[in-house]
Amino acid sequence: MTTHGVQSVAEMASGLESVVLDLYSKSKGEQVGLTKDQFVVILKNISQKYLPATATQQDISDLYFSLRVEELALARACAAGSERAWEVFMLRYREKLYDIGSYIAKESSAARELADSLYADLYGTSSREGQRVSKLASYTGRGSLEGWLRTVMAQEYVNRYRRGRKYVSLDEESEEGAQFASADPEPALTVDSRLEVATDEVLAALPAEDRFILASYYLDGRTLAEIARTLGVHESTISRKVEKLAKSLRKQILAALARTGMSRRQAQEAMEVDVRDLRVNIRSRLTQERDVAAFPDKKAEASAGEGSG
Amino acid sequence: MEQLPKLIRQRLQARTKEDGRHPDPDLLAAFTDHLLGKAERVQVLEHLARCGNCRDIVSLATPDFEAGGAATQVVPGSGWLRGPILRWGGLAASVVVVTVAVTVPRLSRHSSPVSTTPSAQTDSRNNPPQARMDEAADKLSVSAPATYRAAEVDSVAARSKQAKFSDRKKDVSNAKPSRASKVAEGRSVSPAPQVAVPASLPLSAKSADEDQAQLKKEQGDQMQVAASNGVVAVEAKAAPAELEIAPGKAKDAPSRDAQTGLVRNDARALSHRSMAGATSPQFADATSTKNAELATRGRIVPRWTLSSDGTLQRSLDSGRTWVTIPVAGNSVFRALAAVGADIWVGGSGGSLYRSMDAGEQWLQVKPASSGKVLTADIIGVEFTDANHGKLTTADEQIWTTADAGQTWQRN
Repeated sequence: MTTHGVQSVAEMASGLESVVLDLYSKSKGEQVGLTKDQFVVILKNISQKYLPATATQQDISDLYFSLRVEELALARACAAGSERAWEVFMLRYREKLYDIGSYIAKESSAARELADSLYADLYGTSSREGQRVSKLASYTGRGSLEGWLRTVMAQEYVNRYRRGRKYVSLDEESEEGAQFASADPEPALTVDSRLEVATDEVLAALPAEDRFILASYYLDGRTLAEIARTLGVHESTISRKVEKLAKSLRKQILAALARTGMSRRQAQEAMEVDVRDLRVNIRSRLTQERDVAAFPDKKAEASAGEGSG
Repeated sequence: MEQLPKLIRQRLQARTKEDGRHPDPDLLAAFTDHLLGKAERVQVLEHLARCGNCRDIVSLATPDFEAGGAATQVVPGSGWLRGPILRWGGLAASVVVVTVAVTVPRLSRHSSPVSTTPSAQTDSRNNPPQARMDEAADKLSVSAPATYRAAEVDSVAARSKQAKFSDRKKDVSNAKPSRASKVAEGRSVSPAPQVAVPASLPLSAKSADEDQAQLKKEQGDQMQVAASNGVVAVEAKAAPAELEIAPGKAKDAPSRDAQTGLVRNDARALSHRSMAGATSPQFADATSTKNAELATRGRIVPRWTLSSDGTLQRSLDSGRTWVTIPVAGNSVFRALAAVGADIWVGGSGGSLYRSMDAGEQWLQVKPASSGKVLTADIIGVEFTDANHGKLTTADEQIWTTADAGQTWQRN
């Protein structure tokens, strides 16, 4: 790991110097072969990545303290090629990699393949100017290392799945279920443009979390329990929220149409085109409509998936 | 579930096409770990609301605690106010109720219509206890099924604790009716029994016989502690009140620890108690009355996990929220075993800690064999029962114990 052109511990602002030394001690970087200077470089790069140039010393200090420094030191020492770090990493995470693979892929051979593939990436098979580049070098300690491994593996799985989907048959496509239905658009609905604007306005005014819940439930077909787990709340909270949102959206759209100068009657008529869909079961419609929209936007999806890393 | 107009779905869908930059795996991992600050969390949610791809990733990357929960589940109810004591207390109260019910009519029948004085005296002696017993019986009739439910799920813990609690069972079964009724009433206070646990549990890893001997020595104190617990539970209905009892017990610990070679950190134990005191009201605040009632009946099951940075965490709400349980200053824990209320955690530098009361108090255990002390990182802890356990270290040593950690064999 290079340290050229970066601050050493002595060059840091005095306030941060003690913070960094404290964190270095906590990180046990020395035990896994990570020097103080390497640690300083890592922290500095992380603060540059996540904080604006105008960030105060307090902001930087807060960010540093929020990091999982021990896991960060371990991951970066592995990336730097420390044998001791690899031993520790393997002891702690080898089995977990396969467990995570099983959880994500739900099938043993796919799980093993996924875990092996990630392991190869973590070890660093690709070479840049003759040097091994480990994926662990990108870990920044914002979340747990285990969580990061889960995320990276999920990303790999999603990318593979989407690449694989280009070649699956129509039968397989219908058997796969609605897991990735989110990217398949529904057939266009011809409506008053003012209605579209009003709907967009109402959706945009919703908190991000509410839109996430709506999209997860109605577009992705995720269960209430899955959404609840992702957000760290109880399933019943999500259930109540979905009910409430679905009920209030229509009212809010009518109100937004009224604000554009439409009378209530006109607004209701504008929405009438949509009324019949109120009785349509969302999931069955999504599944049914996916066969009609045969694999649109595959390239865009695949590239989006690859770009998410 | 309410259905959503097609137009709204379509507009939601339209928003998902706005592909741009995606959050890196670190941010997504911090999101799934619920570690992001409010501003960053909203940013990530904003992206997720528009990006089906990242929603898939986040959903797949979110751990399913339910799936792995069984291995680390610990059943509550091993606290002395919850388990055998209440069962025996309930039984004692029932016996007293029946006795009083049979005795009182007989006394009334035998009392002479002429000499009213003895009858009046009898009434004055018997009626108040009967009234209390009726009240206790009412409460017990409600709480008894819950007690048996706790007994069913807590069978392992109950078996291992049975011997240790035998003296206390006697205390309660011999207890006066008024005390039994107070204990029964204490069940209506959900957090109190949980916090009261450390005050009266044995503090070191000892055999049942040793515990009994120790308990006999402490019997006087125990009675006072138990009685005051009962009173506090009834009158104050607040968990922190029991915390005042703790220091008295802490004084007893070092002498016992010196005998067994176990080290106990009093300051830490006190901090645990203060934490228990701090979390208990939160628990009470955060949950509804219904949940508190469920907790009282032993349905809420603490779960244990080790975070990837080596801290012990406990969840009292089936994995929804996790609270870090401080065990030892700088130790990083890598292995966890739970047998009933017995929790063992092991980690860096041979650090091994045991809690016999579901995480309220911790004792450091220092395995040594043939003069050699275990100093390697512990990466595996397995306990098949309260006594038999195995440690695996990072350098592939295996240490076993057959007496709850008092002596160890290195293989």
